[in-house]
Amino acid sequence: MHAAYLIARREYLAYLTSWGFWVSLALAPLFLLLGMGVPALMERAQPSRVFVVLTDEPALSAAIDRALAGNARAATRSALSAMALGLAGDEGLRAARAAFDATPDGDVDGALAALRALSPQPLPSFTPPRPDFVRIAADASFETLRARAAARPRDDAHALYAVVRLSRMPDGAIDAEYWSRNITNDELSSLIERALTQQMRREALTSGGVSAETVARAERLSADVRTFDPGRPPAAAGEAAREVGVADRMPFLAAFAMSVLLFSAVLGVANMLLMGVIEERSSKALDMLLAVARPIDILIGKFAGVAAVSVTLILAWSLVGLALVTGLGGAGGAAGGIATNFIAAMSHPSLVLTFLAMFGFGYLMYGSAFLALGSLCETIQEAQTLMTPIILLLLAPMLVLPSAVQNPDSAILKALSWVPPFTPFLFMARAPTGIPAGEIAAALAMMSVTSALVLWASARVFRAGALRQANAQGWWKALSQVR
Amino acid sequence: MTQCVLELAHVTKRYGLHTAVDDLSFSLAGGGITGFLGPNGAGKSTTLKMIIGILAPDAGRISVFGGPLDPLRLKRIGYLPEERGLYRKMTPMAVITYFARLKGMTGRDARSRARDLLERYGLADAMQRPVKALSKGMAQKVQILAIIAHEPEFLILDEPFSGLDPVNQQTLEELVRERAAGGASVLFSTHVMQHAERLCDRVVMIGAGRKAFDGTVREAVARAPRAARIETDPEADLSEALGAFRAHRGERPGVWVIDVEDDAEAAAALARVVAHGAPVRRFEPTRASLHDAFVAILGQSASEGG
Repeated sequence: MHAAYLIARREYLAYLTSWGFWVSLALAPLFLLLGMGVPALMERAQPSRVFVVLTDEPALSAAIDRALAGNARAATRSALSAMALGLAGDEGLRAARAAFDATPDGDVDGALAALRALSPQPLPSFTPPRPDFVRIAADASFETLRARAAARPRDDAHALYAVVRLSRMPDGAIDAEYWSRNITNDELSSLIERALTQQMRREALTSGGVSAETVARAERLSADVRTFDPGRPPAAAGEAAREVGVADRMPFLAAFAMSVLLFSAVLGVANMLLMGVIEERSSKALDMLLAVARPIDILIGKFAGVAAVSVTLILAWSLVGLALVTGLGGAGGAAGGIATNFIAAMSHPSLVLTFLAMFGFGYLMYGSAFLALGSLCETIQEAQTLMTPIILLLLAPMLVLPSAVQNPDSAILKALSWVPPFTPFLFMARAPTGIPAGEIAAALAMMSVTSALVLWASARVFRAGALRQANAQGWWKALSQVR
Repeated sequence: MTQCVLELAHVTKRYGLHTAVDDLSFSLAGGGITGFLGPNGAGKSTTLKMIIGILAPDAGRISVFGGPLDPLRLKRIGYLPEERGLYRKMTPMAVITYFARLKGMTGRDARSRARDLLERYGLADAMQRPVKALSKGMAQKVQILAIIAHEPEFLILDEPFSGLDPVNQQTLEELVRERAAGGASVLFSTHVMQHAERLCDRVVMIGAGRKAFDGTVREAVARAPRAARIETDPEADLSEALGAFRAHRGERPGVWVIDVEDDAEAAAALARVVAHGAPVRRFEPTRASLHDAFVAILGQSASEGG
């Protein structure tokens, strides 16, 4: 094992002193920062889009304005909720929402006061989000406005996003024409459709004898649906069941993110092994190494060395991620609230342990397969040919992973998580669903056996490839020639 | 009784239907330089890989230092493979230290030994340069130093002179002699007979995987056909005088070449020419080389083998 240790040490130091390692180390937090910051930056940089409504009836414009105000209220409520969640958890969230909902237009000051009473730290300043759409008065004819909407302005601030022409049909229905260069985003057209539909219903009700006050009161009514998890009954008889909050939903998102991270990490380190062996084989350094160490020592050494590299990377990324999230959490605001809950979910022992176990199995399976492939190839081109089926296999679970957030208990996901090449990634995604202990034990046993088999076969191929008894063109010889 | 460094008994290695090494047996007593000779594809590298344990024989037995190859015995061997290269980003100092440590030296001893070797073999200035910045000859020297750094008792070199320029070939020959003089046993494969003739005490020749000869260089050379050259008047016809010998005209008029078994036969041929009355201007019994022996032995082996 001394040889394996020395080989692992050389591999580790070789990667640590390569510029690629430091680029990887720096890029991941950079992407994390960009990932967290770019949407906010884009939102901040995106000016409100202006549109005009051409109508002879002020009531129709007013209906649209009411819908715009409703949207703005929902956006403000959502931003306040995220901040409340970060500062004072689910309790803060409930209190802030209750205070905000106390007035029809939303009481921002009341919500902030409620939050201030619960938050252990001072509240950051709160600015309501900028509205996505703003209606401006129509100052020209339809043809002129349509031409303005069709023109390509030098920036969004000077653009007329849409022109809406409304007319009344003989039967009283409202006919709306929506003119916009942006034909993919239906946010505004949907808002207008909802506003006008509501206006038509309002007109129908008032013409049927219902008073305008009653209609307005009815429109403000909304039911409060509280969500509970039957798997989490009250702690004691007579005690109220705990409502499901954002913090309860966060583990599912965290598990999804960790599955993607697992996929990237496994693919990344397996690729490191592949490239390392191809370089050694093409430079003939592998032949020199075979003269002083057994193939199995070389295999173990390379595995351990690259595993140490990946652990270093993951630890470094985790520390940087933790620092970023802590910084964001400390700064407060919506992003801070979400980040704090997200990191809390990711740090849960059950997810961390599942991640570590599944990384181990994924690394053993895919790493050994890539190592064996590398031993058969002199060039990257040769490797690519052989890698394609493995890459496709690796990508397959990624296709079902997004649905795991919405339906982590779906039968297809459960079934696929028992297919060994997919197990590491899909089991990770299923982790927050509370998988029974027996199923976990069976999965661990299955993965242990599968990993051992893949490792055994890979060791045979690696030996044949390293000794040049098999190559990319005759890879099948690898399994038959070596005893 | 001296322990055998190496003993091969009826070793066979097959690749599918092709037999690379066929019932090969030979042994090496301790010390000395042994050449392992054979044409390309004769099975030399396969045999050496079996000795070092990289390949397993299909039949037969190999013992090293009196027993089967185990990790401890392996550490007493230095092996230079035919296909060889180095980690391009590592320095010569790091490469030699790394390989010496893999052979069991401590880090401190390995570094000290690497420094000594690099200084001694003219690579002191290149000690901390990456291998990719070295010339091919320098890199090959580093490869060889890497496998002798742990001072192996048994040195196995597969085509060590391949790719080296004449100056570096000379350096390597000196290094091999030094190791042998220090008590190490050296077994090296080559198909260039000049190196073997200059270096070896003993040669083992193989052709098509089979042993064709095993003995000293002198014994091998004795197996080569010998000749004597007699130069006389261009007009003189010695065909009648040399009728009892295997003689033929040489490369120019007046030169006759006689194939002889030994010195006595050469002397008898000379006596016949003198008795014939032809003037003898030059009489030269030619000495066979290892190259002649190689061609003769392996040519004969090939014809016997079918």
